[in-house]
Amino acid sequence: MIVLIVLLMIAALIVIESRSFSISLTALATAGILVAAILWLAQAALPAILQLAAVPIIIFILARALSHRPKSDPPAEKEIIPTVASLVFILLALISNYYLFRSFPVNLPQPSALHEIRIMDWIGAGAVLIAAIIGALALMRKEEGEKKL
Amino acid sequence: MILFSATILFLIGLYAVMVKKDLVKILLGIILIQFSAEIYLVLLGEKMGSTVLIEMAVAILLIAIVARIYDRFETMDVTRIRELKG
Repeated sequence: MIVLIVLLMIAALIVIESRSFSISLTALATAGILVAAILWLAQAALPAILQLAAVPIIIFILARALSHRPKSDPPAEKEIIPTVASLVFILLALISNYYLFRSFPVNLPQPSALHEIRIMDWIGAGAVLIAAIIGALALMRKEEGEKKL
Repeated sequence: MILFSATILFLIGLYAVMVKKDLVKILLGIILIQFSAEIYLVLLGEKMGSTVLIEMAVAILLIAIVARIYDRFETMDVTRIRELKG
């Protein structure tokens, strides 16, 4: 646990202090996976698994949305390659975590304990997520009218 | 020990939000604060995963807002984004 916490602190500092976008993203992915591991050790299996699923989505959207540059400064291939490499690294980390977690007993809710699951909570969270994705797509879309102006 | 790690993570994120001038760094700081809040929630007994989904939704919306700000102002420096002031 102490090792995980120390690694998490180092990853968080790298996220903040790194001047390279790719290194920041890679450190953010590492921090997310370490948070998932800490959650797992705290007997919270479901948040840990969801955290593992959320990390690559956030990283991908960050890389997709923020990696573009103004026309006067076209993106260099040297910056794209580390981003792709970091995504591959994240995928490999996720696959390895999946096989690691499979080897341990998982405390997921059993069907007999379904009444304990707050279904409305999940529906609300899913609705918020869908609304956020739709809103994000709408926000990131370039408006034709704005271009004409 | 876990509480300590969440507190340190929160402080690192807060440092980024308060000190950094780059919007991406501020965004990453907010995501770190979200990670720490998630650990806090688990410590408080909230072991459902819906909080993770909501945090992800918030992060995605923040990313979209930052992308729109960049499209409009063509800068990530918060000191140069002055139209919202006043």
